Amino acid sequence: MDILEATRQAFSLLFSGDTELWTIIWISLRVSLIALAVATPAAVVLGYVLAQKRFPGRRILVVLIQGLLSFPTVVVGLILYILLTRQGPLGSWQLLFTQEAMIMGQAVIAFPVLAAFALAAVQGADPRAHETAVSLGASPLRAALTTLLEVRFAVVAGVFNGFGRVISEVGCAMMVGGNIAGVTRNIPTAIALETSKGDFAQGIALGVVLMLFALGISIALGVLQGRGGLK
Amino acid sequence: MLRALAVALGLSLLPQTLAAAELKLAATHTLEDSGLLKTLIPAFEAASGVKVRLAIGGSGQVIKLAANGDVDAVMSHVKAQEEKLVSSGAGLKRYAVAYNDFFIAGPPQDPARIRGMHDAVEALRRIHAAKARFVSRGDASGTHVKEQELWRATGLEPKWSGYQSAGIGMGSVLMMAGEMQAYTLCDRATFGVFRARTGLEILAAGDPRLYNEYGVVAVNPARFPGINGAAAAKFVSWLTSPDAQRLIVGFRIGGQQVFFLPAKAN
Repeated sequence: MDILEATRQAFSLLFSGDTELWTIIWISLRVSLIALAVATPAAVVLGYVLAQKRFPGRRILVVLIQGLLSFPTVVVGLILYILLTRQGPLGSWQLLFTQEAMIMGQAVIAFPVLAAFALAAVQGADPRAHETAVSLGASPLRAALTTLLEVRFAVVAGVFNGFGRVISEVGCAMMVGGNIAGVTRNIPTAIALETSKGDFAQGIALGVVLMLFALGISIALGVLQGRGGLK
Repeated sequence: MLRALAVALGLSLLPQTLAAAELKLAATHTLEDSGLLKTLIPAFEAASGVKVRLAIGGSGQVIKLAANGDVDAVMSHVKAQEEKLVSSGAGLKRYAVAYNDFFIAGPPQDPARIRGMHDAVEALRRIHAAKARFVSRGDASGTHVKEQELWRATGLEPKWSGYQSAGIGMGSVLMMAGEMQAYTLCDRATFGVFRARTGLEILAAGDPRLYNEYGVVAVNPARFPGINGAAAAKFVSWLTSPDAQRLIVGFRIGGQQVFFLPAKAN
């Protein structure tokens, strides 16, 4: 069968250090990790504030974040495209079809996941940690850090989930990145392209890498949940 | 929309009853992006009573679909690959359907100074020398195959920081080239549709090497049991009939004829 031959080629590509293949993997990791680094601080702060503070509009924000969890990534791509195109409001930045545009997209896609996990984590935290910190004279910032430290495993679980969402995302990456070889071609867009060319070996090789990432994430999450439960 | 959904569901429930009147056709991006298929397919459906299901891809992909027996017929524009499909036994016979030409389109500023050139190979050399931006299809499509042929003729490696291999369809590449103010190789029909949206201009055209012929091949039903050979045969004979030819030469984009009939109409 063709599949066996393609799979054999896929593994030889992976283990022979094929530059093109590893460039694609590197671009994927770089874009997704930067996007998470950009989105995580703000998302965690928002999650914390929503869990701890009561203010008008809070319910709406919570519902909005939960709704955004399943926001279609192609719509994120569409909105970004309209903003970044030459004729668009941010056209002068000349960011369309660059890694920066992909990072923006992935940060937006990861944000609600990160915020929702932080919100749930802080809500589920033992309130005594925060109370103790306050009664010992900690500033609001110090008390917040104490609480977040208490629920760090749940917050990190959110980061892993966010990573899982963006590393395998193809719609937005294809639209604002453009699948340019060596620049904006990441694992999902490369798999889509290789399949459309009828070249399955590289697609399978990248699929294997992507599945290894997914497996790694779920193992890491399992470990974290074990740790989190032990507190 | 709802009706399309109902039809799709119905097809999956009753494959036997409807399969007889359905043709699975694979065709290239340029035929779809230009709008020609939107003219031809409904006319064929009305004339034959056969429903068409379209799969769009680069020529490399659609030829592969045919070679694997995943579709009943294929329309593409890489003659060598179509002939190989026939000689391998997976396809029945290749018929030329229409032709037009490729050209190099680019930004009005024309940084590589290729405006008005006829020699496509020399134009690519200038783009290379100017290290100007160039967006390649990079997807093994007919247009990409042609571009690679031209680069081979230049004796140069298309590798510089401004050379971007995009891996997307013709319309998308034109949008991208418009965004980046880059050059690209394009077919006349798709360009006609996207010209206004991209602001790009035809800069180098008229090289005989830029001839672009579309062909159709029916998949061999003796080779693959699931093939709807009757529908494919109907489609091929209709596509080469005077009725279809009238539609092809009458097809206009912005008032311009963009497809022409091959010299020997088989």
